[in-house]
Amino acid sequence: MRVRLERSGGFANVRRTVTVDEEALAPERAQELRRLVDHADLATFPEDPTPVAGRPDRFVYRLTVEDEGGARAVTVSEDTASESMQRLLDWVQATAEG
Amino acid sequence: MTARTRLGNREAAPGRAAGIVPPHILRAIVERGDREQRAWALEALALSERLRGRRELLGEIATAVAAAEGGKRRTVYDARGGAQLPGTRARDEGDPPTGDAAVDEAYDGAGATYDLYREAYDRGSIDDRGMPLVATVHYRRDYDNAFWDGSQMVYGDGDGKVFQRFTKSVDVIGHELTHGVIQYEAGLEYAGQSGALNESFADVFGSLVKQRALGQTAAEADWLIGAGLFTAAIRGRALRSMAAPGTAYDDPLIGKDPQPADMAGYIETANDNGGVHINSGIPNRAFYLAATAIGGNAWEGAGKVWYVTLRDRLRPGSDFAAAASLTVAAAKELFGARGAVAKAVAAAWAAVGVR
Repeated sequence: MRVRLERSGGFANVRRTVTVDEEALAPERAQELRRLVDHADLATFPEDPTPVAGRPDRFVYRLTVEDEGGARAVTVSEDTASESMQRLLDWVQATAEG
Repeated sequence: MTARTRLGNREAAPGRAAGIVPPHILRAIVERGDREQRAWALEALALSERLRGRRELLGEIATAVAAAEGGKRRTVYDARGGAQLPGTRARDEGDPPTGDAAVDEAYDGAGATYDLYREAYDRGSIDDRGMPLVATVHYRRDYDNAFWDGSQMVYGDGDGKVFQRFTKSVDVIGHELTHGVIQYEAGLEYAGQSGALNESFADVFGSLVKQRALGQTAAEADWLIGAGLFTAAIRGRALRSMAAPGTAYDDPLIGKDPQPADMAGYIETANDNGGVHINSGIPNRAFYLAATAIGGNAWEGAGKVWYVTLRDRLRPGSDFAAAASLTVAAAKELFGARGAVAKAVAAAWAAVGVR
């Protein structure tokens, strides 16, 4: 499984893209990633890469998950992200930064 | 209440039919009306109470006025690295500086913003009803952002690699509070062109807060947004340049400032709510061109035109073309149909390719 996270928006709108590859992770960390992706429930977020209306200066994320089943990409607004989605976003960013 | 009916009320307020308005309605107006309505209702009430010799009621009225007028009421909270809002109270109105730079900058910046709206535009805080100004600093950890959450300001400390704390630049504070003003007035939808206008008006008044605090004329101002936020490791002067969009930074790590300076460079994108922080460069430059052509203090000429347009004219779905025609119309009404201000505003929008 590979997870790519592209962040835009925010007051600064400085674009940032990070990637986490399961193969580079220790087994328990890889399991954690799969569990977090599972709980984040990607199906509840819009797939279309069309602009979404949001709250001023909040981050907008484009999250792409590639696994055996193919690639899924969704758009997530920081202000409406569920707790489980926020946990995944935080985890991916923290892991990518090492 | 729409801007139109409120304007109507303002015109009707000085009427002298006070005697027929029952005291309980006058008291409601004192509590909830705008400044002019309040003054009128108060006068009418005082008069009727005097006539009836019921002086004890005046104390009650004075309390209601104090609550409605409010004045400047700031409270800064500390999230201590967490995401819980508002957090722990760190500084209240009138308290001395705390020594925590983020707390004190958030406090001072909210004050400078309140003063611009109060003194230049006769606006009583974000909602024009004396709303207290609430801010939270030290939000989350390494958080590279600042935002208005619908009822308060929130500031991150930055990651220390690209960004320093977001309270460092007073225009950021003016920008966030202006998102609140926009929410109570035009309500510009935060996507596409109306979203880029939302961003641009926030930058315009953010810059005006800074210019007024520094006592700079349009010619003296740097017209930068977020100067001082980048760490020394980043090659850039600021996050945005209203005078020259697209030139604020150019750095190997974060890339180049993506803002276009005119409609020829307009960017269609799904990111950033449809490029709201990107295409805002176009109306930002229109404001800069108008303000520098008019000369003097930008908050008095172009700023007044933009403020009245935001308060009374724009609608949630307004686009750049609507902003152009509405600011030109407002400039004519405020400064004369054949005046230099209206001409400068029209020329500014033409220069950035909006018509």
